[in-house]
Amino acid sequence: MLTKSSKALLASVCLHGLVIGGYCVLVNYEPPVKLTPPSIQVTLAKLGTPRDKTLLPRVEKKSTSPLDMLKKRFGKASNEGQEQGSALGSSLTSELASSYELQVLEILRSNYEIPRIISDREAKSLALWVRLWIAANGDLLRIKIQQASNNSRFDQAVLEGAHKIPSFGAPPLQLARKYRTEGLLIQFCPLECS
Amino acid sequence: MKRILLFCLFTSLALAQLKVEKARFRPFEIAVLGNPELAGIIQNDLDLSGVFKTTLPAVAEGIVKIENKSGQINITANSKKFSYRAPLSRKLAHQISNDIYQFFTGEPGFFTSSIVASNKAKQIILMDFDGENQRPVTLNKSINILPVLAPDGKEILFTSYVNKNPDLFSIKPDSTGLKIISNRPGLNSGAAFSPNGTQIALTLSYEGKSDIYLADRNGQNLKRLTSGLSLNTSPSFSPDGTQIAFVSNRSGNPQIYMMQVDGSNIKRITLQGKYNQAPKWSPLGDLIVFTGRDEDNIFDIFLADTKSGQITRVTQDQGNNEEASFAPNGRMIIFSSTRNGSRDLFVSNLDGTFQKQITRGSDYWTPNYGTRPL
Repeated sequence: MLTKSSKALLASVCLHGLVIGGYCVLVNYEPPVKLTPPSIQVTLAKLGTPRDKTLLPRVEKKSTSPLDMLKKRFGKASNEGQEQGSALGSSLTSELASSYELQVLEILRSNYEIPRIISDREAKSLALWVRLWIAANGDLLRIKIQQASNNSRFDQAVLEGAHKIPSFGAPPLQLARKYRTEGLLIQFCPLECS
Repeated sequence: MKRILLFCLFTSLALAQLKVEKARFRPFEIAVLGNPELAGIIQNDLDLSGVFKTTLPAVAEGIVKIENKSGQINITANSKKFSYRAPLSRKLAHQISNDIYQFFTGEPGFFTSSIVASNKAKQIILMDFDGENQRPVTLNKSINILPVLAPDGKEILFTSYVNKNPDLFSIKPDSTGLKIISNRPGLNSGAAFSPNGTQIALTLSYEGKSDIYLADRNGQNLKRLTSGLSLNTSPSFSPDGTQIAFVSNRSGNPQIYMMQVDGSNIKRITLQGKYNQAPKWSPLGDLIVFTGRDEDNIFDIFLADTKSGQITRVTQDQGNNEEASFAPNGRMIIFSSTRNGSRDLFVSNLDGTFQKQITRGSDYWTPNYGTRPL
């Protein structure tokens, strides 16, 4: 049977133990590394007045050549844009990749061409899933169809486009193993994925 | 076991969040080898479709070989073989193009279809789908406009002022068999054939204002479909024949509407723009092409999705573009454009990324494709 003073001593030892233990844990604590940080999408929209929705739509065209830009500059002035946009904006939406995966998607997108023998109407329903593995130096190690689209020309065009890519750029060190062994599962749709 | 595998596959697919969308469409590169005369016409046909681009065999994705042996023309498209009987002709070349197109795309070609239009002299003319082989149908000194070909290709309806009033006439493609379909007082125009060719929808104004009527192909058994105070014009049948698209100013300005073929259930299609006209229904039923006047008072070609009402623009910043109609396979449209000075005919794919001029140097109006070879 413990005396009152023994109980107090025991309680004190336990409390001190908890405090010291908690300190040790907190001192060595490091937040877990997020392997796939969430992507950040940024829209660099042109400053101006939004297009009146009652008007017929206009096709937004990328004008990249200096001649096109001059034509645009000296052509009819347009104040169409977004009220919250930027004076430097182009009214075209751009995505800034904050993660390696977005970088990979952007590179795939730049090589994403399919033959027009696939009609727009058929294109609406096509979807292809592929898994691709990336080496530590960014080279494409392997690409494999996970689920075909039932249109061999579409599937072939996607694979050919991916094989044309010289490099995806080296992945971050902590992700290299994941992309080399697990790979990335990616869905390709000619128009928009449902 | 199978269920587990399916579940795993489904789960892994459901987890997939990485998507690559909105591919760039490029022409399919094809080489046509053999008889230069025949190959030339086929190459031109395929290039004009916007779906193909002819190139050298070394870089082509598809190869077409033409062999002409003792009265028989053999075509090999990749591994598929087609045979035709000589002699060579433009018509045969277009038929071969149709078969090649169908082999590679799985859809019917439209190279044997004819175009009917009115020209600078306000006469009705026919031409091949590529603008070649133009021949007159009417040769009077009056104004002849708004021609449409019957689905069976045996008849053309058009409006003529030959009797000093806009009356509706019928004529055969070989310029014979001219007859009056409707010559009521006022406007008799804007006729459209029903898909099975047994009926026509037309615009008449003999009851005081322009309204849409349904009639037998010969103009008999007239039935009024629209009423009220507004003007209603430019009917176009849906491919299943159950609905009609038309123009009405019932909202204050011309807009595209559709209704059941009995005149019921009227629904507005275009909610954007203040001046939309000349609707033509796609043979595939999902789209209506129309001419819209934008805020700069320029006419351009637009497409309206019949289900969602979403409008997309086909032409922009290239003169005035008007009076579009669909090719029989629904993948191309034809319209008149002033982009190069005179009013000429152009073909375009549905997103406007491929547009090509097919006539030069004359005024052409209201082009319409026929579905049958003539």
